[in-house]
Amino acid sequence: MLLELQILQLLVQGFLLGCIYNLIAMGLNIAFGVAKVVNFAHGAFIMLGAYIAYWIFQIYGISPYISFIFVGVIVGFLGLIPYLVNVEPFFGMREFDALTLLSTYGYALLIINLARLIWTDVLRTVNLGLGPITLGPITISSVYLYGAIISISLSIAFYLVLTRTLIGTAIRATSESWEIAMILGINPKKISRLIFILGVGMAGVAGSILSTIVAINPEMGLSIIGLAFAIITLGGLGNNKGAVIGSFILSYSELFGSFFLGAEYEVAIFFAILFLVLVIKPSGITGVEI
Amino acid sequence: MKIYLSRRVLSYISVIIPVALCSLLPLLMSSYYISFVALTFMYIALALSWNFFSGYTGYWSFGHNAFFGIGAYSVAVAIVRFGFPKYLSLIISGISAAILGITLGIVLLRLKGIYFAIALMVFADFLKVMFVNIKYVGGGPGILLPPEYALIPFYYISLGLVIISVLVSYFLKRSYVGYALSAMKDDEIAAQALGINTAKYRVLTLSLSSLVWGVMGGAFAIYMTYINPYSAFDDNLQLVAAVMTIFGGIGTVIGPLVGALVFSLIQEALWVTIPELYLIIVAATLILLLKFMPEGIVGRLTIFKSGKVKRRK
Repeated sequence: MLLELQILQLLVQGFLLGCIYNLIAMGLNIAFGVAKVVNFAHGAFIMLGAYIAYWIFQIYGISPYISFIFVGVIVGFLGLIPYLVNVEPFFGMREFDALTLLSTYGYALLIINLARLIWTDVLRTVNLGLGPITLGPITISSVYLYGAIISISLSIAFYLVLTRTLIGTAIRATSESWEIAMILGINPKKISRLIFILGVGMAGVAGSILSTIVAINPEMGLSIIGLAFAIITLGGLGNNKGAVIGSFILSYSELFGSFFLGAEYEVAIFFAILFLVLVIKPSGITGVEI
Repeated sequence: MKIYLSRRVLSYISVIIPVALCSLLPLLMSSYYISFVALTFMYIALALSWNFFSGYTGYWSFGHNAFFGIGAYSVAVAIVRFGFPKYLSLIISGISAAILGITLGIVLLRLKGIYFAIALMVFADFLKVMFVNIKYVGGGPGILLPPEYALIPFYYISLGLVIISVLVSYFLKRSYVGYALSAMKDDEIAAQALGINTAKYRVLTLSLSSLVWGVMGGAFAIYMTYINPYSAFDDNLQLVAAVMTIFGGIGTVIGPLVGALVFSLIQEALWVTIPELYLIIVAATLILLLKFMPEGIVGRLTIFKSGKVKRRK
């Protein structure tokens, strides 16, 4: 194959992978942006979503591309438990960040180990029997394509809600300043509760999409969360554009790194970029100075 | 004739007797109990040294396992690749971990709060991935050290590190540095306005704390005689150290010691009876602890003693 064609292939593949990464990071990012909660259990909720989608597929035969909305709703409301018990009581405390981070870490461990107890460490896959799609000179995997389509449509929907509706305006006001939101008659506690449910719900959606792409096991909760944190830290915590940029930097650095330097440098390049950005601009690429 | 013991002498005695007892214990116990006590000491040392960085400065670190892993790998590489004597290489692990601590402290100087926590965590993850990929240090399968029974040395190294960590915790708290750190924890900008070089103290405490973690990692590697990236950069170690510290009382001098002691006993009981529920119970403890007693055992007692309990909302 010609080098140009290989690079074209990598560009397309990287775009699809970046969309999937964005789906993973989006929920974490909006929860931080509005509720200011660092949800460490996000990865665990993704894992939970993947399992729920898997069992729905196994028992009722419903494809995760249809059941993802349902999975998102279930997981989102499960996310209310950590929020009400260990996040809301800490609002206004000086150590809010550390307390919520540690509590959600606790929930992550709890969910992952419960999952290990119930479902064991066996790798499970949702096999939809979808083969690769050939588009002229390039070949793409169809599960990635469908995942990317869902990711893009969700991002656009969220963007429209944020910019065109009253509730979106209230959300943006809350993320700017709690005090001013309160003056304007918005209940910031209600808004951040809503956003947290939405964020965790997105984790459920990401989980059901991931169940078609990777083999699911309880451990994936922890490996995903590191990746998602790295993405949103690179882009700028709480900034939606930042999460998109971070996702694409991750996907392209992985693909091009492993193509030009070998598979063992796949992750190293991204981390090097992340570290460099943090040193130069601690708040990430799009972040405002802290 | 009445013998007067001053407060100072009493406090010396209260330190010397437990230390003497602990150093004589291996003569009396079976190796199962020695290894249990030695691991407890390891947790105490880790919790104490995590506390005098994160608890004193307010910069929560979730990546101290990076220092542990670097310490473990420096010992392994020094012994296996360069043929260094075993316990001399512990110095190398301490130095390399401290250098990493100083570098990270300087590089991440501008990061605050949650950004700092995430950056360190990501860095520890990055090191783990790097060590999986570097063939020189054994890659994913890990590296074997010369097999030799080293329980008693491990016991005494852990005990020594506990003593050092207690002393450092105590002197950091009761010195100018301690007051500077306390001011910095409350309000960093105000502390800077008072002329406190906050960056210097942050790097100082981070390097001391990473030194302890590094030496402990090295001693652990010698004791286990085998390490791989997953055991050396184990996230659970960092988590358990943090849980123990919070359990005892974060930011206090003896809180981590008390927390680690109590928690180790619970942990051992769980391991013996219901190992599959161990991490679930640790997680549930953490969640409930943060909900109901975020100030810890010692923190709660101190508040109670000084009558501050009335003023709390």
